[in-house]
Amino acid sequence: MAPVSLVSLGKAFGSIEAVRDIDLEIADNEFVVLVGPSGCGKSTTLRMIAGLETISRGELRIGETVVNHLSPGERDIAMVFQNYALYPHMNVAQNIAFGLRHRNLSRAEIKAAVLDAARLLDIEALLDRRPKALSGGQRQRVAMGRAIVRRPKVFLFDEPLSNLDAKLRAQMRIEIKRLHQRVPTTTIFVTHDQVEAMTMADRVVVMNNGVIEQVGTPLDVYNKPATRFVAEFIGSPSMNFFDGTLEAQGEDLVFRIGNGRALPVPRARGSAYSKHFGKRLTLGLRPEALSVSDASDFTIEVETKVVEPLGVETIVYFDLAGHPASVRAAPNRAPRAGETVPLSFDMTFMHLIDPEDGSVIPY
Amino acid sequence: MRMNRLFRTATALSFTGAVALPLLPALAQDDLVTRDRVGLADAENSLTFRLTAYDLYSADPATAEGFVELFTTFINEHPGWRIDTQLQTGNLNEEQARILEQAQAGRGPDCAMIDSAQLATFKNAGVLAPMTDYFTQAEIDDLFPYVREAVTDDNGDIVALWWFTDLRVLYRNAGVVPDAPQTWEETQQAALDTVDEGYEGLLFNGGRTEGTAFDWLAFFWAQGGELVDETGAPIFYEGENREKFLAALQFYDDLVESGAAPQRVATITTYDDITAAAAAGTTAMFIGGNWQYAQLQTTLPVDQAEQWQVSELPGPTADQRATGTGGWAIAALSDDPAKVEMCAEIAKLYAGPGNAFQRLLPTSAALYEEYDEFAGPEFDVFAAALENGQARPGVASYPEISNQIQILLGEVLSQSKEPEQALDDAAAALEVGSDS
Amino acid sequence: MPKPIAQALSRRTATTPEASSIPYWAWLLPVMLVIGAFYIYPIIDALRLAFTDATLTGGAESYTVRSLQRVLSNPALPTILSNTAIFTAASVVGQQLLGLSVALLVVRGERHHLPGMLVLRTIVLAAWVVPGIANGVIWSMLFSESPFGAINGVLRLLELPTVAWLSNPANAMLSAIIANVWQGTAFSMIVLYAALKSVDPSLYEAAAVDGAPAWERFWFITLPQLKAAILVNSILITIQTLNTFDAILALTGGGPGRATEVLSLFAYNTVFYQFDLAGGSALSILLLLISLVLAALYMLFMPKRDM
Repeated sequence: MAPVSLVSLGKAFGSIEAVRDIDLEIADNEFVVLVGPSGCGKSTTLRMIAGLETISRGELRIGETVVNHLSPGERDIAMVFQNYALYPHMNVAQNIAFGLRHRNLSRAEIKAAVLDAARLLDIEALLDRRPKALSGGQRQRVAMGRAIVRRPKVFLFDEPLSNLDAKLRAQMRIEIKRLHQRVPTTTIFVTHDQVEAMTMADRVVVMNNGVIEQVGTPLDVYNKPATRFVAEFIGSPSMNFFDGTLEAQGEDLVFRIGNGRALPVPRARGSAYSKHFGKRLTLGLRPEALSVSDASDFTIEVETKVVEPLGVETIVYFDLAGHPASVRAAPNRAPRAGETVPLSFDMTFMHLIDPEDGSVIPY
Repeated sequence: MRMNRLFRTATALSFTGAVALPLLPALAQDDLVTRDRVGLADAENSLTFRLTAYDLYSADPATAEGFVELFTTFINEHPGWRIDTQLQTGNLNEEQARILEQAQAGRGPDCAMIDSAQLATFKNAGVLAPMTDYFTQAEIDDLFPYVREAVTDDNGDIVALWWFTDLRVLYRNAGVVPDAPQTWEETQQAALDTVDEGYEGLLFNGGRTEGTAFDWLAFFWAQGGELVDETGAPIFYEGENREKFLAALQFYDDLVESGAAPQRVATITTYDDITAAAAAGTTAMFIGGNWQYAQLQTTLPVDQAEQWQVSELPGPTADQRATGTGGWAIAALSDDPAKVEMCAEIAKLYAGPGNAFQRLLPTSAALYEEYDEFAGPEFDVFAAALENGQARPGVASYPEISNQIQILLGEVLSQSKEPEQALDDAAAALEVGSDS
Repeated sequence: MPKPIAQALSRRTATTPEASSIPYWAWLLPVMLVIGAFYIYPIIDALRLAFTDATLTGGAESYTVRSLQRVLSNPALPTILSNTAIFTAASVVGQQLLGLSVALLVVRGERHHLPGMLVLRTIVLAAWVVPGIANGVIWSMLFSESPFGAINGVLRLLELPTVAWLSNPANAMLSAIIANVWQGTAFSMIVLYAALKSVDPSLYEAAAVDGAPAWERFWFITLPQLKAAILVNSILITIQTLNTFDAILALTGGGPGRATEVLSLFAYNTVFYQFDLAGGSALSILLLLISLVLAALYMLFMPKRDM
């Protein structure tokens, strides 16, 4: 229940800079997800916020207070760890109550608080058990109970779902989300799973190589990625990329890909792209911007390599001009592997990426 | 005694890595003396000989070299024989117990070195072979009386050769204490005078070790005290013996209480501790063994060494004297007469040339005349003192009596019990122990 | 795994005809033979000897309870037992405390990547590989009350009063304990170091986030997590210390008087000094019983498996 500010935050381990220049304003009660591949610095950033890593550079504020030099216990935060870190020698009730020891509460008050938290998470029946006797999902709830019972200013989650199986993970995603609705608290959630980031976050922070690539709402980062990294990392299957050049064809712009085929660029992009005319660029198109059909006035024939039926849709993989690519198809109209099929392109979803710096050219 | 001292030294050395039985390069030359035998490997006759690591296999190269020479000559004079040598470890009590146990099971060595203090136990166990036939009557007659008695069994047979003896004497730095104190009183006063001059005072064994009891017993024996009766039962805490015992105890107690001896004597468990203090010049008087004389002579520069002189242990009066005598014997544990004879020959090798080489005290008067090595003035003192020599009583209960004396001396010296109380407790412990 | 395959597999392992025809105890036979020959037999033989009048000097043995009576009615026994209790209890506590301190120090040092932690561990361990006798000799040099004694020499240099480390009966026990703790600390350190390393570091982070200061993290996380290791360690140290006599033998020989004579040294003296095999056996059986009772007591506090 406090905003969190990260100002030029940085962390160096010896000569290695793990995290650089993190600037982030997190609003009160906002649910922010830090996402990125392993080693991108997201966990280090979270641990700096928790006080488990010292801050090498910059300033961290929780509410009005600069907390750089406060111990974790003084920051009024709660954290759920990847392996839950439940105290093995304490039962569930003791685990949950541990953080209340310095609150000057009576035994009855502590008991009530523990019961409250347990009720919220539906683990009342487990209060007497030791962590060893709990399932993964139950442990997850206890870890959350331990965090929630203290009503902290900030909730921190460090990849809390990665040890669960797929079904339970989906279920816990919803529960965490619902918990946030019932107990609104500023929440910072770290994950490497872009699905978790997309489904849970108010805002997603995509990190790579120790810096923030982009901050935005889930739909923002999906639809308007700022960099090729974000475009590639967010979304599954990944965005297709084709190298080529931006050329003029009459009054219109076309993007000529490796094999010489020119794809028409929508007129609306004309003014935004005009100064990149003639450059070598990369075209980015999500699989859903392609379709297996000859319905449009512009099609390219490709040979399918692999076909993945997912039930609701089928992903078709193929190579185009030397680039591996994929397209989503309706299950009932999906081709078989090895078939040659016509592809239609919906260029209104196109992105152009400057290969020099990986940035997406704004439009 | 000597073995115990050497055992401590060897232990101290072995952890510093210095002991590795430095067998000499000379051994390799003729292959007559090796780590486990003396003589040719294919000799037709052989006997096993369990010896300690202080002569042939000494850690001191000079000693080992000398004995290699002696043994080489010896084996050349006994062609066709091979001595299979078995080394005793430094743990004296365990080794002696092991020999006894093995001998009773018929697995013992043919010939072995036996601590004179243990002779009675071996004799009583009946494992020693008579060797009377291999000595002349003159040789037997020439043994010191207490030695002859100890090596003679109930049938009048000689069952071992006690090849060297040792005794306790009073050492003093003549530069500090010019005249040898003759009585307990004089001793205490002389020691107090050295303390005034900044010395530690009189040092002696006072810890839990055989030497403590044995050194001190001289003061009990000097009054004519007796430890055991003819059946071997302890009687030292009864009647007249009790008075004598307490008087000797009081002598030690007074030494510490008056400051004539430091309280640390209660921690001294090796003669080496005392030699070290003498060599370092922190003490000017101590009660020690005869072998320490040679140690001081070799350790100290000549001008300091000649300051150290020996005299007979003081008595309650100048003419009541005694000294404890120890040493080692060699005995045969075999039934084969040829091996027993060979064992007797080995014993004679040690008694004569061996002793002369190591300057250990022979147990027969003739040998002192025979070898020039025994010409020094100290040997006159030793020989005179040996006239008042007292061996440990040859009874099975002696080790436990000694143990109790060590305990009670420790209690008195550390001032934790009064002499009477300490003696009563020892007596009680012995009476419980002796009912079997 | 699909059910039929699982069933087939379990059938194969559980009901192979050759396996089922061999009785279960046959599988235990080799280990029972080894334990029987090398562990049980000596104990039974010692028990048997305790009821004889056997001595090392031979002679026919006959069965009697007098050896046992003699040992148990020995007026020195209460002193010996109280010496043993003090020596053992102080050694266990001392070794645990010191071992834990060094282990915490090393783990902390390693966490902060301080150099020299391996060297520190090795140095501490070096004490452990020193033989007991040598340990006694080393400490007798350090504690020596002669003018050239090491520790007193330092005290003298600092113009502090010297201490009668070994000649005062109470100090002698303390000195023996110090020597034993010095040697045994390494063992405790290794056991506790391993246990500390296996504590999940995120528990400390969780506790830190939960607002527990360092001492609470030690009290509420480290100690409970080490409980099993500390108990096992206590059992091992207790038995080890009860059986220790070589260091005392070299340090004080059990003196002055009986001030440092413990049960194992008493048993050793009884056998190898008095040649009293029966009495020594009775004492070793007593030692064994004490060890077993103490081990059983420790086991009562052993955490359940759901740790």
